Amino acid sequence: MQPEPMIRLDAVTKVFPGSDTPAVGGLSLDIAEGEIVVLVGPSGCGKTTTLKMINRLVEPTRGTIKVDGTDTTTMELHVLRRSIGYVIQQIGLFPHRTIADNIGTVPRLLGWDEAKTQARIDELIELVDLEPEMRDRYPSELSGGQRQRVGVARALAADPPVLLMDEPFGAVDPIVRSRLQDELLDLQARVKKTIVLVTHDIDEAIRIGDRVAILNVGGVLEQYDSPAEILREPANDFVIDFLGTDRGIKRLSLIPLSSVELEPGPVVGIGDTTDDAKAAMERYGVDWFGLRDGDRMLGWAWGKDLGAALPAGDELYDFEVKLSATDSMREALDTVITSRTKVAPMFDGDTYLGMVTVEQISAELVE
Amino acid sequence: MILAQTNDAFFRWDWVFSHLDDIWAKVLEHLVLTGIALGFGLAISLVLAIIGLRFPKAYPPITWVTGIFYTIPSLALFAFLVPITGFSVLSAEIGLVSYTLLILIRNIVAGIDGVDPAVREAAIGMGYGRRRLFLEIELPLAMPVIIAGLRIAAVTTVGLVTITALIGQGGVGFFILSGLNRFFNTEIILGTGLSVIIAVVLDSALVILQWALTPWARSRSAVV
Repeated sequence: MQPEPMIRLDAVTKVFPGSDTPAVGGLSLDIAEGEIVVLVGPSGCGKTTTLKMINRLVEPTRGTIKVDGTDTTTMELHVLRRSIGYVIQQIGLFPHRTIADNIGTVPRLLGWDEAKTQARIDELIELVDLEPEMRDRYPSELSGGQRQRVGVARALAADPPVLLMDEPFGAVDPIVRSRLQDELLDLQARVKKTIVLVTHDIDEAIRIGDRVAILNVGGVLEQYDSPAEILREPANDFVIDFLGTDRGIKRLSLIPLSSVELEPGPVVGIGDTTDDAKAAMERYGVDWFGLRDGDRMLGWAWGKDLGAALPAGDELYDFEVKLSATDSMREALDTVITSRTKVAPMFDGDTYLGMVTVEQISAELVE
Repeated sequence: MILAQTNDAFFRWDWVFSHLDDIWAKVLEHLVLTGIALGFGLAISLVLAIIGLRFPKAYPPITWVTGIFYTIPSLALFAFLVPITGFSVLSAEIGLVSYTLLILIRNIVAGIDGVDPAVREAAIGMGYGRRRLFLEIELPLAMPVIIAGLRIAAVTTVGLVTITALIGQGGVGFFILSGLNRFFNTEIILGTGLSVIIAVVLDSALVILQWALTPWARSRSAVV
């Protein structure tokens, strides 16, 4: 039996006053406990409206929304909203309150006693990796990235089961954004919230969503699935178009190298002969070979330079990029096309594990 | 000091020193009249501003009516009030309060309209009710603009109080009126000078008040 979803949208429609066409038309969506669901789509697709209907900043015209099994319209507005964390693009920190007081907002609204609130503030400052001396600063004294972390800490303060995030990384530069995305995933691994996140950026959706809901104009759900499935099998032309022409490469970034069966590659040991090296090169149809000493990779050399004996250690080239199991096929592809040997060798520390070839990468996409 | 002792001196310090008790009493009266006017003006303006913010259609009529108050010549207003409320503090305050309303209402509304919409949305999204949103978020953030209005209202009121000397009030304006009647420079200069000093002191006090009430605005330039 399927467990009850944490959030259930059932045929939810929103028609704004003065508009003929619905902003969201009959949208149904189940969001399971502990997953990150990303709502993504072009502007006018109703993704933000959908998000705001969950905490009733926008009231649905028709349909029901249940959070943790309770119809939200039966709940007092402030009770509902205090039980849902909310992060918006501009963050909306209170400029007249210190970082600590900003984080303590919802606990104080809920009437927690001061000692408990203070302890929670300390906990959250640590959780989102802010320095303790930020505590008594004002928001205007923080960088964009720091403010964003405070916004997340504030949303998590009363330990709500659900977190709504409306373009949370929209206002920071790309480098900070990518770091904050990693931080969110890292945070989620620890706090296990049910997160609904809105973005217009398909790469962000693929990167952080457990499931991605692709919405079309008017709140029409085109596809709702894991990023890997959406990339592997887009439901229709709209999704294909929205994913962009580099769909294959996007997919590679979701395949970890740990799931790939590695090739040993044209590699010989230091006890082998030059004939062994020639045989290995022939097997792979290349003009280079690797030389290893037990588990340790010493380097590689061109076949045309092969003399009467295998080359010594100082005559070998190093593999410039060494991948590890946490890298993805995307990084493997990058290594393959930028290295002289046209392969991506994978290591665990110093131990050579094997290599990924361009044929393997291609096979992964075509299958 | 020799000059000051002759009767036709331009400014007679001896007169000032022999009337210190009177002067102090009039300065106090001036402060009380100003304080009452600003206190009531602020209270009424807050109520009207809240009405105007809550019901946007009510805002234009509110500024329209208070705008008319503001344009009536003060001399005419006090003359008009005397037959109704007499030569009283009440007459003086009705006039003084009505002159503060336009400036204060406009600044309160502007201050609250100026609150970052993202801050408001975040607050509502976290479960703030209307009243707490106003008292704990909007009002503190509007404080710099409200105090800017209060400073203008205060300086204006201090000047206007001197006019109420015509209806038996007036604070230090009493000396100006008396000096004009008697062709006595010392009183005119004293009254005018004291009025200016009171205005400057009050304005400075409000600047300090704003500094004390908005600690977040101080640190803005402290860190890059």
